[in-house]
Amino acid sequence: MNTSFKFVEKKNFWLMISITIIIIGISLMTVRFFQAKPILNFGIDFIGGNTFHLKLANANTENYSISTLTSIRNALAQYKLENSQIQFSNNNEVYIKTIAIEKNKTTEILNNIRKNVGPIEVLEIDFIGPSIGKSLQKQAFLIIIFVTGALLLYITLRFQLSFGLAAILALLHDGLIIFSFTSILNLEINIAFIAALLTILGYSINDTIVIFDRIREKTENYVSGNINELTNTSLNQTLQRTLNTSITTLMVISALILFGGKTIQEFCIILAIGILSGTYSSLCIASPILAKLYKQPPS
Amino acid sequence: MNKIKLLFSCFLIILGIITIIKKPINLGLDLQGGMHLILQAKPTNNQPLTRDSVLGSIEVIRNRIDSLGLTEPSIRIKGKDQISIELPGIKNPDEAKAMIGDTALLEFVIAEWAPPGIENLPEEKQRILIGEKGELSYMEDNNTSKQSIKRPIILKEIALTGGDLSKASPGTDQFGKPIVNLEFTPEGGTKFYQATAKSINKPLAILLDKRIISAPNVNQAISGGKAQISGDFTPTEVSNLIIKLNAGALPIPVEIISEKQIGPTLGKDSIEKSKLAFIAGIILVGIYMVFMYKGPGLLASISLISYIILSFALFKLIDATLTLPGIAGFILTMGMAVDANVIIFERIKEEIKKNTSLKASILNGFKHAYVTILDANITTLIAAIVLFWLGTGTIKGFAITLSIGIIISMFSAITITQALLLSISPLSQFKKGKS
Repeated sequence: MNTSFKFVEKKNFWLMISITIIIIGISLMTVRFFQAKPILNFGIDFIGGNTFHLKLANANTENYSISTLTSIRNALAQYKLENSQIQFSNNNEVYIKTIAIEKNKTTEILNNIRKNVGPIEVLEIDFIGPSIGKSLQKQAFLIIIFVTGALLLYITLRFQLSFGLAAILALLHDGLIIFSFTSILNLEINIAFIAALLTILGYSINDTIVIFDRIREKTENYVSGNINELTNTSLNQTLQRTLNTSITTLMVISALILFGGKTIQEFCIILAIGILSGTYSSLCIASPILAKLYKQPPS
Repeated sequence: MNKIKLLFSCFLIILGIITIIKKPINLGLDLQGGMHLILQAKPTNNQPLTRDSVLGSIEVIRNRIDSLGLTEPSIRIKGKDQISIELPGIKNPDEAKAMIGDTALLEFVIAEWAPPGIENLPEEKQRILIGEKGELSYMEDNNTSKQSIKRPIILKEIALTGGDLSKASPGTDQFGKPIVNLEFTPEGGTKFYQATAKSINKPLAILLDKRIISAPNVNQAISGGKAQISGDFTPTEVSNLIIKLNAGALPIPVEIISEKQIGPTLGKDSIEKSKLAFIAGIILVGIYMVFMYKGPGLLASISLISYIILSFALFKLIDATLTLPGIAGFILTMGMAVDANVIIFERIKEEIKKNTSLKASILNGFKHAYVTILDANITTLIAAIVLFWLGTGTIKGFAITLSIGIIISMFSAITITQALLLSISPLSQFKKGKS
């Protein structure tokens, strides 16, 4: 594939696309903030609470959604949890998410629901106390700081500071894009989300480094031309690889979205958005930034 | 040299297959069903929070859980003051929760019945009746009639605790109701004798976790180091109480701060679905690689399958636990494993365009690709290492699969793909392949 796209010259256009997405995401968060709702859909991993994923054994399939919903709300009302999120899905499955309560009451709540709606099969129950949520918030924050720092250090050692900065800025871009999409699609932020986010950052940096490696090779062997041209040539030479890798990875993720269960699906949707964003940022964000920041080393 | 590489790779793959067949996989709780609890140790006024008290609690909890007859329960200290308990395949989680969380502090307290209506007296008068060291409590009595009666009682002095027991066993009273038979240690027997001697014609309150379960009146001093507790017990309550009494009381109270229960059907469902996704993923990627690179694409698919065998074998060898995010991470690294092959093939194609010989192109292509693959994978590995270092639970499991994936994928691309390519280079289809 012999292409000669001018990636670097169109940098303002690329930036505009990204900024538009980020602005939509942040506006939605702001709107939610003023409506006094949580700005993002935080899972109980972070804020504490209960989730019940239950299968109703002998619910009346005809009108289970209305009468059962009321029965479940009544059962929850005793714990002042009547405003919990209750969702029904296929095969009489019900998913309940409550806000944080101080003590572990899962058994009592479950028995109360049983009393109101009859026998239920427990698929999954989670209780996270408020203190655990806090420690996870801290953990996620530390992980992000350390990952960024370690990557910046490694890339600066192997390449140059400008490469490191460009790569980190591209990562920041990916992070913002993912949070924006999470805000737009109202996806839940939980432990799996953090794992997905970190995978994406790893993947995106991997992609960026392959391109940077080519740019480094060109600047070291001093191929004629200015940095913009070198960057464009490098991007085009590695374009086939960049696309192939994204496509194969997306294929695997699509298989997971299609055949994986509900838990895996949301995780994989985030991954798919991230892989697209990561590929895009390596081509259209990281490389133009590098071309801008790059300084010819003194020879 | 190339033949040695090829033989070495074959040898490793065979070893890998044997490992996969022979060694069972550790399934995480999310895949096999079960319960995961995190307990927070809470210091009390007389019991500060120390490492010993937390470790002591773990020991007691282990004794109690062993009596449930579960396979491979895992009880570990988490951080400084938390206890993580994993109970795979548990049938009745509620019973286990009650079994674990109760302190099971048994106390025999020298007591006195308070005059009825004491609760209505002003506080100063109450204090005079109760005395300096005493404590006013109420005993719920359900036996006499259907209505529960709260009878005030003044607790004076703790005479014995569960620590003075040598053995608890089940029994029945003369009416056939379940009771608990207690045997004291010799020292405990003496204490019990003294306590009963002091309490003639007065009640001796028996408390479990600060709740009065009975307060029989003492008629005479009891020697012989034996006693009975009769309450309003069901047979299950009796057998659970006996387990707790024999395991001892928790040195420090604990509270459940996180609980996860996974029913057995969900895990099975996840495994089936992941298997399907896994196979679909391999086939899709294989088709795409053959479509893009013809013959070498087929080699890349072989290399991908070897990658899967080797990383799965290594995963089993280090006894890692397979969880749902772990499976996702593993499937994801498949996509990344192909990446190394793509980098190599693209580079070889470029070298071929320079019109060098095919073998030289392959070797040169690899030489250039090494640097790229190394830098790209090390950066991802750094992220995985930080995850492993700072993450816990799910995130740690994910980091392990990701790291294994990265290392093995580099190895399989650099060694296996290269060896395969060189050995078929005389009949390679690179020139015919699209470039």
